[in-house]
Amino acid sequence: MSEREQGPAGGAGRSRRRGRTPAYAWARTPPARLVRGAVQYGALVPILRFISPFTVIGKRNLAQLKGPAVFVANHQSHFDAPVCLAALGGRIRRRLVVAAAADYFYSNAVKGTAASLALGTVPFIRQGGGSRESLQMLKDLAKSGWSVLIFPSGTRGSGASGFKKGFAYIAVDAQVPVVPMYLHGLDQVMPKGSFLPLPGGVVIGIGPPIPPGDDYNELVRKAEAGVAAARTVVKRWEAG
Amino acid sequence: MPRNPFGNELFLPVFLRVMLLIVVGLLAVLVAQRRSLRVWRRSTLFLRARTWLVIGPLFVLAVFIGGFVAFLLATFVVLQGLSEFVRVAGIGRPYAYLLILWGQVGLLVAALARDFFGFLPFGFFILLTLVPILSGRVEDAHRQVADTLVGYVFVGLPMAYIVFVNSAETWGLNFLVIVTVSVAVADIAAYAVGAVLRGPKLVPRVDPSKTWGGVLGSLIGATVGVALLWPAVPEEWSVAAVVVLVLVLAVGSVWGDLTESFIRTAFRTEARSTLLLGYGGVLGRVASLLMAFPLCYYALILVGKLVG
Repeated sequence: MSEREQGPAGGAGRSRRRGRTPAYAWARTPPARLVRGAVQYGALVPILRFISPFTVIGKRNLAQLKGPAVFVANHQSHFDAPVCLAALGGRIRRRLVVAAAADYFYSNAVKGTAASLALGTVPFIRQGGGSRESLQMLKDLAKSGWSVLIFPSGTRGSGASGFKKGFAYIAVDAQVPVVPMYLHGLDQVMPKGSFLPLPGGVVIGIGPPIPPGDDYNELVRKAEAGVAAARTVVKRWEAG
Repeated sequence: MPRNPFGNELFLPVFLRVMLLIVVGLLAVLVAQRRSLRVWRRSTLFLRARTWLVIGPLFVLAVFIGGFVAFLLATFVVLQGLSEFVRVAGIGRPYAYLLILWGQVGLLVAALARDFFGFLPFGFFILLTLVPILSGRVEDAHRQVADTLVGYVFVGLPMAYIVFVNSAETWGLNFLVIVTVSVAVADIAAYAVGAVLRGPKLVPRVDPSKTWGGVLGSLIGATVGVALLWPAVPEEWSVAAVVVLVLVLAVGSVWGDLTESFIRTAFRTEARSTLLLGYGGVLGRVASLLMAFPLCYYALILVGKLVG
């Protein structure tokens, strides 16, 4: 679900042939949101808690959010997005889209539909003209009140640095804050290359929202520092 | 099938005693530490106490409800305990998945097909040998098979024993409650008394933090635990059986802890889960129980046969 994983293969089906990113707008309609809510409350979150019981540190930082935000986190595994959704709680989850690798999660219609319906993902193309279109779609969503979850570090297994600018474009242009998150333990639950999770505890650190400002590079730097600070808090907590 | 816990006359006495134990323990720690509430809330001891406040009543409820609720709890412990062992021992993924799978199979066999219970360890060995045979990866396979078997015998099989005894014996539920609660009390008492008395080290090369004072604490804790749950002691248990139970509980509890320590030392890892607040992983919490439970069961059977 990282930006780098989102290759040029991009959009699925007819839209891809037309060279457009499919928006999967139906996944944000009230009936789809109702189904998603039921799936997440009834199955996703309980199963996640069973397989990877998670502890959230800094959840009070979310109380400061009065509108949409761009959530950025380090990327460790395919479990990251579901765990983030569970950790963020129902209030934010209800109006949240996850930027997902178009070439991976939308490589066929069934996978794309399932991801959009269950997780609220939207296809994100990283390279070529499609990426501009994907960014524009996310900006529009942010402006219309949807929060965005994105993993800007490039690839799974990366840390709290080397973030790409995509998230900053969304946050600055839509003037929404960036919330840094640090995910710890998911690299052991489902490391790159494995297809089945190995159960284990997970800790999620949430940092205070960062105002968007008007400088993309500055925002990237602040977001990296924010994720690094969340990591420090998580490590300190883990050490007892 | 799940039962109404209030339908069992033991439920309330046990539940109230467990809650009383936790609250008294909390107050004792609070008094002993003499810190302000604000500072204390950030301490590991507070997290531990909070963890007990959650898992204590949850455990008693699940055990008395029984059926799939208790089964779900056992599944959770097996899943998380074995996964933690996999990380500690550095077991490869194919072996790890088989270990977790067989852990679950063991619970099912113990609950539904007790005649095959004795086949579980050997059946697992056969299953494990399939990994190198089918994959052709024989380098280090003997070590992986051996380590995985240790994980099963240390975590998976004792958990299956818990389900087995609970379903096979008329006093299974009483035994389960007495042993689990008493082991928990013995663990805490070993920690507290060991910290106060200290005394000579038990086996410093394995675990430098364990002292003979801790062993005494474990014995005191086991005695207090069994005494506290006296209403749950079945009438058919003789006094000799109860005395042996207390002794084996205390020894088994320390032995389980030492086993976990030597495993961590042998694998040179401090890798722990972040599952239980203030405690780290599940393994550290259940290690004493895993060793003490089968030991206590067979000790009771033996005493029953000897005494009549």
